[in-house]
Amino acid sequence: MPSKQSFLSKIAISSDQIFVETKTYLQRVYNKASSQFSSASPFGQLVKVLSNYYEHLFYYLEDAQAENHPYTASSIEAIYGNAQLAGHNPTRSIAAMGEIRFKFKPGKESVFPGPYIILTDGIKLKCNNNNLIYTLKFNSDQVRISKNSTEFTYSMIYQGIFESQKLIGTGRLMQTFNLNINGTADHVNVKVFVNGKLWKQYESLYDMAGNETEGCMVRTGLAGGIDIIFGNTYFGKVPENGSIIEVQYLVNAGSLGTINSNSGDITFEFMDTGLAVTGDEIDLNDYMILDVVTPPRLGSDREDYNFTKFIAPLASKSFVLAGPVNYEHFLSRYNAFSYIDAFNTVDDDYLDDDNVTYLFLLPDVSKKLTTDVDYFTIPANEFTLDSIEKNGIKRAIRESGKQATTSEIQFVDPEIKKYAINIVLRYFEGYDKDALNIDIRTKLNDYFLSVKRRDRIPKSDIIALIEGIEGIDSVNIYFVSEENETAIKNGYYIKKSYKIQPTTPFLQEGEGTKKRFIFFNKELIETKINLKENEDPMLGLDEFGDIIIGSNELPVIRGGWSDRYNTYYQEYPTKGQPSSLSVYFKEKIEQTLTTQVQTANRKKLG
Amino acid sequence: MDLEQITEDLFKYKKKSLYKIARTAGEERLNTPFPYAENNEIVRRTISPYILRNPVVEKFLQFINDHTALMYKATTWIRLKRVYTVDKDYEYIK
Repeated sequence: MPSKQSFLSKIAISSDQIFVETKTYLQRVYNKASSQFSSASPFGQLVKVLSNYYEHLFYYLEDAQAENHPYTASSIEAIYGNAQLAGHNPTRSIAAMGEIRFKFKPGKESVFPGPYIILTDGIKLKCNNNNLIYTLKFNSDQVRISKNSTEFTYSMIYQGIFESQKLIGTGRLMQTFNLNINGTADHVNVKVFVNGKLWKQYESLYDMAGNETEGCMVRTGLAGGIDIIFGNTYFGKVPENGSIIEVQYLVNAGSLGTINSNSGDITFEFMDTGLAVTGDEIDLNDYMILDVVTPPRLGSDREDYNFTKFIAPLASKSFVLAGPVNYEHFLSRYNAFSYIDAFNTVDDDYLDDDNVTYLFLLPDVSKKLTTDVDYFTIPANEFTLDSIEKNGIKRAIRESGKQATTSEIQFVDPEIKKYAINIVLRYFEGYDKDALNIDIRTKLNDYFLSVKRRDRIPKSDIIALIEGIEGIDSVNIYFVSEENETAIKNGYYIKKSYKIQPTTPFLQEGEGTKKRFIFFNKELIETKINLKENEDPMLGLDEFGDIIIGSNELPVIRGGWSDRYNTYYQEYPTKGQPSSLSVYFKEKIEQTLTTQVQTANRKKLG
Repeated sequence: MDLEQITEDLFKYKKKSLYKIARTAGEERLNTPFPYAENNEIVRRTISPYILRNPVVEKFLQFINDHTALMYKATTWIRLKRVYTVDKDYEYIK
């Protein structure tokens, strides 16, 4: 028999149901008419509000429970937390970093009080290009800029603002603190000080061997923010009871901090003041000139949660950058790439590069687009990494401290292969050609920005996309390959291969002061292949006419070359002329009832 | 009998452990969870101020507020189960 208190049905979890059941119960117990417990009465309002509280509560409880399961979790913090339990440390955002230089403004010496300006570490700058805040980081607490010096002072800048939180040590083993952070803390720029002393960060507890190792682990938080985990005396020193633990981190805007402009086009202004010798605050914009040496680059958003779900069970537990898989996992943290291929060549006869991991990286072009530029008009050099980005990647790998001693990396530059697309179509009367042109270009823009496959680009993909556009009856497309057309025009093409032979070991100069012994000669052989009359070698295309993507190749839809008939293809889509994207309207089809029914039937099949 | 006498000792459950206060003195945390249990926050934001004019009802509603805040905390405790390395009563999880 149910108790008197359990008047609520266990399936009544909406506020209305709870309210009705409560009201019925109260009326029954107190023998009162329903008017006594209406929402107009204070007591009725209380019951109504409480039933609403409980409805919220049921929702929150269900949500909290669902977020604890990797398959049902939907919030990013919960997905990151679940991944953390699986051993994968999800990447938080990474701040864009660059380098600037500054010196005293010539001509202002006489009006400035004192011999130098003092700039403290962590001075904030505002970028006028994107209105984001950047922070100067010196290697010391402050720098002095002499007003008589003509030399520039160089400094790194990081996008974002440094924050700090203070915690108190408990003296217990495995002390763990979860720090709530508004925004995302940088994945790299986190420092932990215990009683003012910087403690080193480790990837694993087992790396902090012994009682004297002053270290901790900094992980993306199991419940959002970041987790700081200290040792247990067997593995790592324990902060004493009452010790002050200060955690500094950089809150940043990820990829938004990257500025894809030339150094000369980027301007900053100081937000913080400097100090004169007298202690007076000085407006730095009045007395300093500032140049950008390296534009802020390699800013990256926090890890995509779909990627986290995929990668969590596959994460390497070695924490060392040794083989291709390690490098792919490391670089995939940076959301700056649309394609990452790390590989080595241990299977070939050339043994000298067996410790080298080759990195074939394609930047995510979609992040470089502006409102007036699309896939078809973005400069071709944006499809490859420039020297600043390569140096940034090298620095990130070096500063991670994870690269195995014998491991080396080399970048493989993609070989850009140019193609043009010719589209021939029939369209229905009543549709505007210009509007159809725009629709086609938009669809293809989205397709080429999102396509990730590295084997081929099929014609059928493009045809299916265009057929889906309202007003198109039928369509055919064909790709024209610059390499193939040039070969036909010249009557030959060059085939490249490598010949490898053992040699007497000799010392080869490497990057910087590095030297290494070479045991094999690797010689590039270029063979001229002559074409027969009317022979079409189909370079870059297969028998279907699909684009074939060779290793290290990057196909782009771009003109700026002539075909076998000396027809010049304009570099960018140009109306009325052969170009990288040409649309030919072959025939206008009359709109009848039959054609409309046929179109509707076709859509149903699709 | 005045209101203070009626409610004497009834709010003992709100007292904080002095040991705990001593252990965390000096902490400077940011973005801490919203203090639902303080200042009648939940009731104050959801019930007509007219009802709260009566001091007896206002005092009574503090219990309702604290009870509801405790129930809200239940969600935090569920989330805490995933954060296995912190104390079971760690109160900074949002």
